[in-house]
Amino acid sequence: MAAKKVGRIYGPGEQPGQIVFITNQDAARAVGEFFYYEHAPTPGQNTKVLIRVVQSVPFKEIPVAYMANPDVDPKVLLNALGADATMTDVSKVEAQIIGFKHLNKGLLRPTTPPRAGIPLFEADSQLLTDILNKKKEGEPGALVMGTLRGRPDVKIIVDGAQILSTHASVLAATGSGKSYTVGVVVEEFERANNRAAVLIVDPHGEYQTLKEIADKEQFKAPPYEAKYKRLAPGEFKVKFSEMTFEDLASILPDMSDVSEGNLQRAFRIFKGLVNPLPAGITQPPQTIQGFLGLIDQMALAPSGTGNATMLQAGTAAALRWRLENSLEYSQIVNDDKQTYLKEILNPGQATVLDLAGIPAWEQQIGVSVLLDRIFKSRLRHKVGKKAGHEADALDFPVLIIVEEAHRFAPRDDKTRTSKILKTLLSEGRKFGTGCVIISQRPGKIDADVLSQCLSQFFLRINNPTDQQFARDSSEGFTADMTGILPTLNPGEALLSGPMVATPVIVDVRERFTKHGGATEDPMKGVRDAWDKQNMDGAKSEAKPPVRQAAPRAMR
Amino acid sequence: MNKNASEKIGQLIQTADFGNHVALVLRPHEAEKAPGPDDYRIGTFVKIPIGKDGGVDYVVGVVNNVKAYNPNYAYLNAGLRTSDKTKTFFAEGYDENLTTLDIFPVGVKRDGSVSQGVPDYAPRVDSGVYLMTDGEVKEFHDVDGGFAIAYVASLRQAPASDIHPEFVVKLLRRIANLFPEQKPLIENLERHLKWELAAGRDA
Repeated sequence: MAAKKVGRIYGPGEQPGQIVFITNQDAARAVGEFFYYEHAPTPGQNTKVLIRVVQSVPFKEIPVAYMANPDVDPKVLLNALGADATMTDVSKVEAQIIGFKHLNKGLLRPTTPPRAGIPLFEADSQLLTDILNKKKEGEPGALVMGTLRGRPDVKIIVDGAQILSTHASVLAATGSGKSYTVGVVVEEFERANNRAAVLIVDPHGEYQTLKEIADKEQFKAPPYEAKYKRLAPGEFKVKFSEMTFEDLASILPDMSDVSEGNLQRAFRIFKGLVNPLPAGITQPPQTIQGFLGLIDQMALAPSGTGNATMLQAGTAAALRWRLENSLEYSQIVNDDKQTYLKEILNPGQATVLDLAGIPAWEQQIGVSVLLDRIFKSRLRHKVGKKAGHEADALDFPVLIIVEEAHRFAPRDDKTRTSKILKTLLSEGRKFGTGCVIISQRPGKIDADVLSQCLSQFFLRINNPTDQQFARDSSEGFTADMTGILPTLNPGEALLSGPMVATPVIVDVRERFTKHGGATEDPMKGVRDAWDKQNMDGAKSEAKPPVRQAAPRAMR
Repeated sequence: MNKNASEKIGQLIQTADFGNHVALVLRPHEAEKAPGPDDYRIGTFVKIPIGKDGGVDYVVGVVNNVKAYNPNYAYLNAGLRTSDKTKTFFAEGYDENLTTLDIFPVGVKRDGSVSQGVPDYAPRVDSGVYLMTDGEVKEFHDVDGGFAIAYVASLRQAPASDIHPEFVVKLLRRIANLFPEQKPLIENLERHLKWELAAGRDA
């Protein structure tokens, strides 16, 4: 069947790589829609060049005065005046040239602009599937995210290998389907064609429903079966003696330079890096109490006898108090147990690090220690060095998904986690540690962290500051995409970056697993609570039955 | 508004393809009941038969100007006689005062169908000029089953020397009375034109 003509090319657009076409079809005006024109890069070799609608303006505008009375249809008035009102349906549409598929070189842009007057056609599903997707369904790395907006016949398949190597961000206003979309990403990484090792840093405990991947058929292809693991709050342990100075320093934010210097001296003694030991100091046991005892020793040690490393009594007391306060009640840092990486990460397994209920500072320490350990393990593996502990040796790439990333890499704030995240993002490509950064406030994330994520899943973003940050930090972000961000409906995502051939709007597919982060109706919550408090009691009270009046006979 | 019977009110004495035609209003001695100012008010729809008078095909026009002449004071007369003297010399003499109508062609009815805009037929000089009945005016405004005033565009484009800008507004008001169901639509346009008259087209 011949392709449907939707318009004619008028000429080049204002921006490089853009064209303008004229159409009277509603569908051809929709921003983000795709069409094609025929192009012959070499004589006799016809190819279809795909274009994407950027914006449209009416070719003929209805005079404003004709719309002064809402009871009068201005088109009826125009028709009565002999003007063809259908002219107001004609639009001048700006479109971005996406390119054509070259057999060997992939997606290419034509070097010559199209001729004016040539027709533009509706793109069929096969053409869109071929051009928009870098991967074919079922191939290693292929992530089926859903369908092209308005085209349920066109699957959008993202290149997961690009996410693993060049990272991605998921940016969206709250309630626009962020965690749902991430759920789909995780599901796709856990399907038989990918079998990835995925870690989800989950501060709100909203990814637990991913446990269903262990049961659902979509994640089984014998002998492969996807696995799920949840590290409940308190299950993930960091042994105090295994912590680095940076880990320790991050427990005590806002330290003065003097305090930090003192803590570092104590830590070096604790780790046995000072030899010989200063006078009056004995090597402490490798425990939290041992370290606190060392602080006490340093305060009591004689000064003025070459013992310049010792502490003033007041400083020591303050330092001890802060350390004790933080470590004594810690759910993560302890003296005995260390959670090794292979207990957490395995190929074909999604692991949720559930941090719900854990204080922010402790989430920081837990996440930073874990990420640091993953990075170092991958680094060692890559350079052929043995891991400190066999169970810490990761001989497979890892995808790390960080929910609420603005907590872990806040803008204008140096936290331990932002440091390790920057390292992972800038060097992870070499060592097989991919990151997906998720946030509802792009404007509050460290700009370096955001800009290292080369692919993006944008859902609806209303806040102009956040739109600006999203634009500034994303390579390949075109001006028209800013306009799309606030118009995205729930369940729609704009995908861009190397994971896709060209920016596309996708209707995110239905999850195989239940969505755990759905917004609850708060009013239902309070009503239910009231009912529970009042109605249950009412039911249990033995109330005398209400006597019904006998119906009166009708006269 | 126009009378219900198609009544002859004048005779075409000058035609122009796309501009005003000029008709001479019948004088008392030319009609049983000579037409009066009420019959040829500005905005009156008239028809001018194409072919034989009384034929079914006609050009539709709108009276957009009325001019009256008294031969005693104009070039039509050398001024050697007065109306009193005329009566003296010609017992059966009649009033030589003349009234002419500028008629702007706005459409045509041919072979039973109407079209609006510049007619592609020019009526012959000497053709009769007839009032259109309300029914005929309504029929003229029904093009392909819809209310149409497409000729308004031609009227608005006409030079001010031919058509006074306010004429269109007056015409629309008359049409609104004839088509009460189209009143909101016509009033919308009328307001727009009045605004243009007061503030200029670009305002």
